[in-house]
Amino acid sequence: MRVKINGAVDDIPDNSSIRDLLTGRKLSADIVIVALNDEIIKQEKWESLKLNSNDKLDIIRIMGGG
Amino acid sequence: MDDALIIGGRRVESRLFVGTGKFADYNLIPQVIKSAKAQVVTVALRRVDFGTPEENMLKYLPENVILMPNTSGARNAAEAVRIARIAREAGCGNWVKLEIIADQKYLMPDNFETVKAIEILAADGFVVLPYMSPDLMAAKRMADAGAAAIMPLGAPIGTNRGLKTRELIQILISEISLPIIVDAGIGRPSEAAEAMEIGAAAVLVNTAIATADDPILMAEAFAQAVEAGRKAFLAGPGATRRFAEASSPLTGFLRNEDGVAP
Repeated sequence: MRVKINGAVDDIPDNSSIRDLLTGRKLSADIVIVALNDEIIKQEKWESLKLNSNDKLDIIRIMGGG
Repeated sequence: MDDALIIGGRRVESRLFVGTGKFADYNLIPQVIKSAKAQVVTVALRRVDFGTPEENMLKYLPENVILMPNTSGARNAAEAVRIARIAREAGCGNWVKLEIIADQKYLMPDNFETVKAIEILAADGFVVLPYMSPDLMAAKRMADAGAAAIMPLGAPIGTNRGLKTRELIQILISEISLPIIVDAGIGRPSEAAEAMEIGAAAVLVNTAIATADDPILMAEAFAQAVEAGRKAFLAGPGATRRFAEASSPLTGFLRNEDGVAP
């Protein structure tokens, strides 16, 4: 199914969870913030929450800035 | 003497705020914060770049700092509000350095969009510190909208050019009752001291420290300059004058009143 990740359209397997997606991209949980359709998803829901077609995901991290 | 700065109900002991961008190595950051004696520290939020290795920046920050995530990347009020809310949800607390920039050449902040975002964020419980172009009317609107402090630029971001807007900042200091924190442009400790001498409540420094050959030593130099400038402001500098005024008595020692040596 198609979803939008960080502004780019991507194809991911049906029934993927946020955890599946992050694992696939080798991102560890303690470094990223996930917003699904503009809403922050807490880590405890990353396993259970399944993504839907056309979902918009933002995977964000905190970095150095002035 | 108790000279703590109070912002959003919190006591801030250190008047040197530091940014964490542009450091060659995150390992420098804890040492820089320590030698700057900084308490307020800015961070940024970015979408993950899947091509580069990731690191958790927060683990480099001491527990007791006040995190001030910025909204850099926001081009309008709506985007800034969204970034601020994500930062708060992510555990960064409720302080935000509001920064709305649509001009890419000089990175000049959009004062108009900034006022709109302050209204929304302040009503939503944020402690909002807006980065702004020093303009009295804009600063008044920002204060009315609920800003906790006003952060005028000294010179464009990252230029290390100093207090180019000194006259305008002085007007803000004189007319706005909120703390005025000079953000952006300060390139040397002497310029930080100058900002403090004219009555700035604090300064925010990033590039000048991060791009110094020895950032840890430069952080210490800035801390001393900010402290010196603050003390000078509190001490009340003497008046300037056009002509000399002797600091020592000039008469009647090695010559007579008529000017002729005895």
